[in-house]
Amino acid sequence: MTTNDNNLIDATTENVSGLLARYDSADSLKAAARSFRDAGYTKWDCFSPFPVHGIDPAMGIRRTRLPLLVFAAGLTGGIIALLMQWWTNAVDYPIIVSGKPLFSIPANIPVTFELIVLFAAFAAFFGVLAMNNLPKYQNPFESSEQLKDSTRDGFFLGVEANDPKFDQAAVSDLMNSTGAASVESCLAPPPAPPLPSAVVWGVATCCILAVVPLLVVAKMRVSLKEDRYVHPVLDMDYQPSLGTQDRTTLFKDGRTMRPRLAETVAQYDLPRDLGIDQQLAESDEFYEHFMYGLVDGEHATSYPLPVTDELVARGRERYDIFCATCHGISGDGNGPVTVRAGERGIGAWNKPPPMHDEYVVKQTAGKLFHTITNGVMRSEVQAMPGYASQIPPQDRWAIILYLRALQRSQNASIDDIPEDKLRQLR
Amino acid sequence: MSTIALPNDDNTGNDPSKRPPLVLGASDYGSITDAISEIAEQPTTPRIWYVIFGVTSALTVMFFALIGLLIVTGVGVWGNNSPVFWGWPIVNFVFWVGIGHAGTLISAILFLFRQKWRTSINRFAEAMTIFAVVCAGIFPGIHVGRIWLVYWLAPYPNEMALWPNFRSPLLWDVFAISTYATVSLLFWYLGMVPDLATFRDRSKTPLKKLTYGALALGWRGSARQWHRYEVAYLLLAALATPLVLSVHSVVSFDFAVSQLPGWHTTIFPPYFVAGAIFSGFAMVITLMVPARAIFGLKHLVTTRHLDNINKIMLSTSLMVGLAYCTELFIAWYSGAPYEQFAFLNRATGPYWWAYWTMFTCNVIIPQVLWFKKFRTTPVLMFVVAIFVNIGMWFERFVIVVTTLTRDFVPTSWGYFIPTPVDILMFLGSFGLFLSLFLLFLKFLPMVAMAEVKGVMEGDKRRGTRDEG
Repeated sequence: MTTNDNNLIDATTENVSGLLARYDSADSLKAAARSFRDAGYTKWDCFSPFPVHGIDPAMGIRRTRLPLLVFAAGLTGGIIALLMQWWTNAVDYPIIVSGKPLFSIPANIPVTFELIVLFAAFAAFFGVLAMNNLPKYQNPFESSEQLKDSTRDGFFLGVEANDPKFDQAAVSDLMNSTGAASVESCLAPPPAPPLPSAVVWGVATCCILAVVPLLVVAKMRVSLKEDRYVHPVLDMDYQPSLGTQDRTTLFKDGRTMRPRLAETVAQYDLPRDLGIDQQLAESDEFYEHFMYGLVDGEHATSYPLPVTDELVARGRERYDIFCATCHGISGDGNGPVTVRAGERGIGAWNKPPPMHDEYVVKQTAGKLFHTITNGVMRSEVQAMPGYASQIPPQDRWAIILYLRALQRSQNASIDDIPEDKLRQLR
Repeated sequence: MSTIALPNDDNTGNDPSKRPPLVLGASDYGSITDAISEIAEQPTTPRIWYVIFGVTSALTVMFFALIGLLIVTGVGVWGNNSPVFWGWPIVNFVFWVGIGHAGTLISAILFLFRQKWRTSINRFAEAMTIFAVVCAGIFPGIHVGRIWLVYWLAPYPNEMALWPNFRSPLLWDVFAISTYATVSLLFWYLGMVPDLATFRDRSKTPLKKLTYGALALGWRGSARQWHRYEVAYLLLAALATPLVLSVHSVVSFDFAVSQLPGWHTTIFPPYFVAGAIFSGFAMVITLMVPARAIFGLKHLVTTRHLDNINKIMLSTSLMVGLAYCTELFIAWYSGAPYEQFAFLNRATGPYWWAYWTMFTCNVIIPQVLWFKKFRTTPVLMFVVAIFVNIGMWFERFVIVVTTLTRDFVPTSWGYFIPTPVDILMFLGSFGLFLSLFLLFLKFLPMVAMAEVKGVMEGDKRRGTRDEG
């Protein structure tokens, strides 16, 4: 109930939450504040559209401790920043960048300074809200329509009913005597209605549903997935360049891959001087024998090329290049790599068997060809890699021939030496 | 300076015996509140707002469409190429960040200097800061190439066991710009809470009551609240002051910490900060001159306010001019051939037109501000401010591009040409900035009413308030 004169109409209801007085100016509000401070009230406040100069001592408001909080937060931010930079760049994963020191105060100041300011600003902002108890959408005087003027041009002083010294008559007398333009009693705001259950259930459902994607992510983090994972950013997966079997309109025959031009040589083409092109093209058996070392589906026992001194010499040259590193110059298995593996104690190294061992001597030429081409698996591990990409077929046959010579060299008797060479030995 | 009696609406006199009023006309707390609140409360917004908003929204949509094009296609849509790997995107980034700094200066630094005239313009300028920082932050974000991986810049534990390189100014930039955006936002919002409470108390429709009520956080304007609020405001101002100086210094480190001639110089931090304040104040004038006319705020943003802003612009123009001359002098005095060539190239090389545009717009044209007529006539200062905006963009362009087109090895030299996407994205960023700004003008309190009233109170007590 409001009144325009200085009389207060007694409220007959019991739920008076406080008394609100309106003053004409900031100065009269300040004077009134001093009176109320001196009278010993504690639960009271002044309301104004701007901070009134000098009202803090007039009300007896103690200086806030917010600056301490802000200082502490800033200090914390600085320490966190320095620790973070030191630990990540100098301890956990040190990377040398342009020879700059891993941790140096001048270089690390900018981030440190920014985090000091950031933490301090958070403390100032959230601190002032917390200390002011904001957000708070209820106050004891809100039943007063006049109070809305406090954000426009009105100056108010309000005493809450739950102040220990509250007495309606005494307070209103003091208000009137300090020059209040009007005194109003405010009623306690009605209790806020409970939220409709639909809202509560709706919010709860949303919260529960929001957890589901997180659980899915957590599950996926610890499980293996067989198919390709979802790949939203295609990067360079699909390129405009043409693939081998693609159609194209660039050429009349529509093929991307072009047939070999006359007089050009393909990558694994044979040197012409082997003279077997025609035979390779015409005879499937010869092709199988030459390319795969197979005769009638079995490992061949004969050579597809004529066995000559030149071929053996070629084999020796190729063996020394490709095979001797592991198998040794004499084929005993003590090539430099094997020796080094032994010196370094690498147990995982598969030591090649000596070439003159009986079980290797017994292998057919076709089997040897298969070994050179595809390598050897031992205990589910590739013990010897395949050399198909490095040694063309004709050289493989040459190496096999030389291999036979090596094997013969370790398994020979004096009777195998021809007459003319015998004389050199004696 | 003048002691003759000035007409009632001119408070630009400098008579030391009479402090000039900061709010003109027969204003009281109520009329000021009404003047500002009614701008947001009008049931029908003036048509001009819709017209301009339509244009700026179209530009904003274009901006985001071009960003989409960039993400889908790649940075080749820009003119960036060897040797100019930083082109318009970085020029635009520095341009917008610089503009933002004026708002923080007005809010924070002028507050610490107890310049009460800031209260009419600080809300406006802080809003300009926020929106400029939004535009600024977009450009480095999108220029990285693989934008979907931009979170790699943050120090989070990852399966690659990698951490960011804290010795790089580019990373300092991440922290600086993020901190600046956050702190500016907090400062702006905290400053607005009392005014949002005013709006809340005046709201008639339920939607407005709810929205402004929620935003005002239940602010009641009690003395205890004001006490802590003032302390927090002071602390934020004290924090924001070194922050704004540090942020643009860190932006300048992007260049100064490199080894390129024309970039590797210790003048960059103060030079950039002065330039930022310069360009920011020019943008304040550009926005404020029309706004105060359209919204009828001439009694709050008085001629004295504009005069003061122009004085700051003039002084920063002189600082920037001094910096240009210092660079030239040091290039000569140092005897370093690469440095000398870098500056000769700027003035006489293929980008001479950009350099002289910059020099004219930033140093020569603002000298008219020595004359009071130019400082106090809105149309004239608006024209000068536009020139300064152009000149400051060119300054960043000259810094970034001329050094990159011609550095140490002549075989690496190349000429940079922007693509249409470069140009349209820049225009689009203006669209975003102005759209956000127009929304601010329509819905939020564009002048800090509580602070202006507080200043008027001080005037009243000193007996200087104009009663005319």
